[in-house]
Amino acid sequence: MLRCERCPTMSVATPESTADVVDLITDARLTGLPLWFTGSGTSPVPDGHTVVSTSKLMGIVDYKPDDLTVVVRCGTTLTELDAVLSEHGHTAVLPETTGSRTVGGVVASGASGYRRLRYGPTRDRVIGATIVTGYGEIVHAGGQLVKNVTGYDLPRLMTGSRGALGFISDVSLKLWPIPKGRRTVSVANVADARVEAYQPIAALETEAGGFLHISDSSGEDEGFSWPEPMMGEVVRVVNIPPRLVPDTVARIKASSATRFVAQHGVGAVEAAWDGIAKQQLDEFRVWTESCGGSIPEMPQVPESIGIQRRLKAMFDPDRICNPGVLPGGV
Amino acid sequence: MTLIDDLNALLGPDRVLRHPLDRTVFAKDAGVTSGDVIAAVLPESTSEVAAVVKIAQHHNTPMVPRGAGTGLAGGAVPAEPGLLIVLTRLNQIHEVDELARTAWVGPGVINLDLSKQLEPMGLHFAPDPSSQQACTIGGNVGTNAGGPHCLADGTTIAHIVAVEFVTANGDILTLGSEAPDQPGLDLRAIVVGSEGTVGLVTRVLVRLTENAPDVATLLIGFGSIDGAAGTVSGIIAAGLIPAALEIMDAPMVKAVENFVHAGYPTDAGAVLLAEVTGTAVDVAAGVDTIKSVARQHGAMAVRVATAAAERALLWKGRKAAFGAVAQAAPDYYLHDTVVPRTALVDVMSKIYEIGDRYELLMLNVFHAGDGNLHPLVAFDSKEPGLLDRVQAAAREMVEVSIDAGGSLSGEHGIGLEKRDLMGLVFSDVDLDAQARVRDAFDESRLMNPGTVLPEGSRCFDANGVRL
Repeated sequence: MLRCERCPTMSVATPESTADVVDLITDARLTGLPLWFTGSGTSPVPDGHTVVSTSKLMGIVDYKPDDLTVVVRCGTTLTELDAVLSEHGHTAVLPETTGSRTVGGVVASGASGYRRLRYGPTRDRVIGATIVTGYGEIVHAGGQLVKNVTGYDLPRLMTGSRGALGFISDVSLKLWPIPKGRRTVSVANVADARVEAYQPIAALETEAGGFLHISDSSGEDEGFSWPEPMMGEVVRVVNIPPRLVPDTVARIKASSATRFVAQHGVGAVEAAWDGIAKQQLDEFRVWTESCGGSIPEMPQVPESIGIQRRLKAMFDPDRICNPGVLPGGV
Repeated sequence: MTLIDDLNALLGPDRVLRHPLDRTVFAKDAGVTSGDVIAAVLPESTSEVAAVVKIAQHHNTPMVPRGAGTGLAGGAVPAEPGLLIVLTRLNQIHEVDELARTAWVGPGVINLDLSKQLEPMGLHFAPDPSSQQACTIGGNVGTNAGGPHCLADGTTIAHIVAVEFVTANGDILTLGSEAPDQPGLDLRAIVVGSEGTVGLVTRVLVRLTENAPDVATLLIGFGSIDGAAGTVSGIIAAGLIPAALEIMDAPMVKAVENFVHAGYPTDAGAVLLAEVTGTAVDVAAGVDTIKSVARQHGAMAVRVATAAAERALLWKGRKAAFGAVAQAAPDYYLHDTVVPRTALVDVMSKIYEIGDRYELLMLNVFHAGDGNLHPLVAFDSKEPGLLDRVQAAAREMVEVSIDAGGSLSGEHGIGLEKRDLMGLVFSDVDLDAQARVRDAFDESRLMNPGTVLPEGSRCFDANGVRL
C-alpha cells in the first residue's frame, strides 16, 4: 500500500494481478473501508476510500488480428492499445482524445468517441470481461466472440457501471478495420449533410462550423482530423435526443460557451465555458431533462432505481466497490 | 377467484386461451422442447400486460412471454406449468423519427413487416433472422436475434435504443432513452437476450439503418468447405467486414437448389454467399477483395449479382435453407455454436468427423463471418436409437466448439434446450453471478423460471455465504 503524493492521507493500492484485486476486496470487506477504483484518475476520489489504481495492470493479453478481437488489461492506456492495433490497420473505436486514459476507465465510464455515429457506442465493442465482484469472486463473462448469446450480457452491463458492481480486470473488445481512406469535409449544414451522406464516420458541429468525417476506400487520408480536446473552467456533456441537437447548439452558443462539439445523429453535445453561473447550468439541466436527456455530471435518479439497487446489493453487498458512484447513491 | 377467473375478468374469455388444442399449440416453439401451458393470454396494451403480471403474481403462477414462437431453443416454452403471455397483438408501429432514424414499435410487429413499412423512407431494421417473415421484434429482443446481416451491423442489441418494460411485479419502466448514455446501469444490456426471464417488453425504440446506395451479392463455388472457410477468415484478415458472409456445404446446396432453383452450383463442395454494401466505390473495392481472396483459396466459379432481382434469388436460396431440409428427413436438430473466426476451418473439420462417426445426415449453412455455426442434423425420430445418436453427436459438436474458445449460442439463445450445457462454458461462480442478475430483476422467480440457467445456479445465500 502506498500513500498518494498529492494527498498523503489517502492510501493507494496498485494491484499487479486479478488475484491482488481479490485480496484487496476481501480485506476491504473485513475492514469495512470502501475502495475507489480509478484508471487515469480523471474522476475525484471521495474521502475515506482506498484508491485502487490500475496502473500496474497493463498490457495486451491476447490480440488475434485475423479475428479482429483483442483482450486487454484494464490499466492499458488508449495510446498504447492504439499503437499496437494500428500496426495491423485496426481500431477498437474508443474515444479519440486518448492522453493517459485507460481502457478500463473508458469501459467503466461507458465513454464513447465521435465515431459512434458509424460504429455505435463503446458498449457495442465490449464482448468479454473478467470481473472481481464485491464478494471478491472472479467472474468471467463473454469471450473473444463477436456474436454470443450464452447467458446474460454481463460485459455490456459492466460497461458504464463505473465500478459499482466490481472491478473490471480485463476486457475483450471487438475491433474494426480502419477505413483505407478518410476525409474531413467542411459543410454548411451538417444536419442535412449527415442525412445525405451514406454512413459518415461522424457529423460534428463546432464553433468553427460543420464537419463531415467520411471514409472513402478509393483515397488516402486527406485532411482527416478530430477537434482538439475540450478545455475550460467548466466542461459538460449534454446528452439529448438527436433531433434536438440544433436547439442545443443554439442554446450553448447563446450561453457564451468558449467551445463546443455537437455530435449530430448521436445527440451528445460537449461544451466548455470559462465561467458560467451555477444557476445557468441548472437551467440547462432542467431543460435537458424536460427533453428526456441528461447531463452526466448532474444525473437524475433513473426510473429503474429499484432494480439498480438490487443489482448493486447482489454484486457488492458490503458497498465496498465505488459506493454511491451511480445516480441514486448506488 | 381463480387465476382463470381473474384473467377472464380482465381480458374476456376469448383472450384467455385454454382449449386443449390451444394449450398444445402454445406448449412448443419451433425447436425440440415442449412444456405445460395453463393458459395463453392475448393482452393488447401495456396496461393489460401489467395487469396480467399482477394477476399471475397474486396466484403465484409462472409467466412465459412469447412472440411468434419461432424460437429454436425453447425460451418461450414453460419449464413448469405456466401462463403464456403472448405479445403478438401489441403490433403497432407507433412512431417513426426519420431524421433520428428510430421508431417506437410494439413487440408484436413482425420483423420483415417493419422493414417493408420503412422501405419508402430508405430505411430498414438490420437484424434479419431466417424466420424474419414470421418472427416478432419482441422475440428478437428476447433472444438478441441475429441473422446474416448482423456481421457488419451487429445483433439486435446494437439496434435497441430503449424499451418500455413491465417488471416481474407489474411495474412499467422505460429502460434506455432517445438521448444517448442514460445515467445509471444500462439495464437494456440484460433485458435484450434475457429470453423472458427478467420481465416483459411492451414497446421498443429500435434504431433504423439506412439502405445502402449500392449492393453486390457474390456466389462463389469451392471444391471443399476448407476453401470457403479459409476465404472467410482471409476476407476478415484483409480488413474487410462485408455486410454478410454465409457458407453452405454440398449437401445443403443440393437440398436448397432442389427446393428453390436459385442457380446454385450443385457440383461445388461448398458455396460462399457474400454481400458488400456501401457507395459504388466501396462496393467495387469490396468485390475485388473478395474475388482475390477467394481465388487464393481455390474458388471455382464466381457469380456477382448487382440487380435486385438476381440478388433476391441468391438470397432466396439461403433463406429457404431450413425449409429445404424438410425434403431430407422429418426432424432436424440445429446447432448454434459460435467460435473465433480463425478457428472455422479446424472446427468444421472436427464437426464433419463427428457426423461421419455417428453416421448422421448433416447439412451446414452458417454465418461464417461471425463464426456462428449451424450444423443441422436431419433425422427421423421414429427410427429406434437414432435420437440418442443425434444427441450424443450434438454434445460432442458443442464440446469441440467450446474447446476452440467458442460458446453455446450465437443467436438462438439458451432456453430449455441448452440450459444444462451452461456448465461447459461457465464456472459455478460465473453461473451464480448470472443467477444474481436474474434475482435482482425478479425476486419472485416467476418470470420464465427454470430456463437459461441450470438448476442450482445460486450457490450463495442472501448474506453472501457460500452454500
